[in-house]
Amino acid sequence: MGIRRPGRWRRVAFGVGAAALLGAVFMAYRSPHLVVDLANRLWACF
Amino acid sequence: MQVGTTPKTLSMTQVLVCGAAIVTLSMGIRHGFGLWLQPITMDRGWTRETFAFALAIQNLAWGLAGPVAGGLADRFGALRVLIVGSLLYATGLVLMALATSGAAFTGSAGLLLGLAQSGTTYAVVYGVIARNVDPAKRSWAMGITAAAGSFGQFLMVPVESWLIAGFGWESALIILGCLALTIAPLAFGLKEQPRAAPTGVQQGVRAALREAFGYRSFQLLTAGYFVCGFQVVFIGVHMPSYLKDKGLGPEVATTALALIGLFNVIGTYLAGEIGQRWPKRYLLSAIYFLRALAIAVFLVLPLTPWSVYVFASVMGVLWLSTVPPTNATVAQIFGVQYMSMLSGFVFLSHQLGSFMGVWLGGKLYDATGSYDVVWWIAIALGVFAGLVNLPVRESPIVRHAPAAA
Repeated sequence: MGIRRPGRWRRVAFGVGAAALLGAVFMAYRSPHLVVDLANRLWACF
Repeated sequence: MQVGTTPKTLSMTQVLVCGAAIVTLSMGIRHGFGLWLQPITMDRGWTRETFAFALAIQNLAWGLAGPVAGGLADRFGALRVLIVGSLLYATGLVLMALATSGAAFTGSAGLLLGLAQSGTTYAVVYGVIARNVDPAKRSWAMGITAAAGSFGQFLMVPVESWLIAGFGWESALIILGCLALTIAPLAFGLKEQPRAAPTGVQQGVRAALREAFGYRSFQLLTAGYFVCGFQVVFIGVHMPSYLKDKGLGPEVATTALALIGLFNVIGTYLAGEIGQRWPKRYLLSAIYFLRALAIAVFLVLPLTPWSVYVFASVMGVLWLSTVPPTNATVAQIFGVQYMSMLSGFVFLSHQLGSFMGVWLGGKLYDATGSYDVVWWIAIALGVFAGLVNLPVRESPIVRHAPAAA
């Protein structure tokens, strides 16, 4: 049996949660409405 | 905020949670302003120039007011500056919705929001981080906060698009104004205790400025940050037009924007983490050299959607990754007493570079009929910034007490 390392699991859970959140936001950029919206107005987004 | 002899510091978790939330909001809200271009100009009968001029003023005001906001935060505490910044942010957004003339729009969307951003973004928050987080974790903590700002930028573009579609552009601005007000309660998490006068060498604001501007490493860092602003904003603003000129569809530019946003979050975090382990000057040099290399490869290889996606991903990793090591180096060299003010000055250089990137991109495109010259300027500047960061001395500056009469 290995030694329990709650810090490590917490980091893994945090990493998985962050990746899921980033993936969800990335998918939002793929919605047709946003693609058209951004394509029309992209130049001033920065 | 005077650096004291027995300071009671805030907990790192509290500083990180509140600082990250504040920067997520302040960086995120402003990032989607381009989405209002079409509805505002159509409804008000304005030209693109009116809208663009207000955003240009906003960026300049943000940069110019940065050192002042930072100085006030160093002197009176970040809490007060953040509260005023939050109120200015909300007022600016509401007035932006109500403005019916170009002058009123420039005053609200330009001047007020620029001032608001100077009081609610990195320089002010980084001062609190520098004073309250152990130097051994400072770069990492700045990386977390910068990643939160990058996430705010990534998140808020689709959110703001939905708000405009769902509620109309005026109501969307007022909703964002309410959101900006939440910065004020979050700022209480960054409330530092007043501290007694520092021991050792006493230094006033003027002396701190003389010291910084006369110190070669500060000059080099500031020069490098100018390049960061130039490259990032040139690419952000002009790349969609470049892709269109080359015959690629708008969906390629949209995907590129999403990839830059996604990898920017990862890159800023990694930069903070790596800056904790490696000399920050080498990290900064590597970032600038890699940017130059990435742009050169992008230009030389045949342009396809996939070359754009790879370029956007690589540039995303390098996008705001300069923020944590640059600011952590300033804190490391000069200490934390005037951290926000000095960060504000370095950021002013970034904003001047941003202005040049947008302006020169348009100017040289009009003069030559292509972006080629500006791309190569961006490469040359990347090599220049890579070189100037190499000799930066990261060790704390040695101050000598004035000799007794």
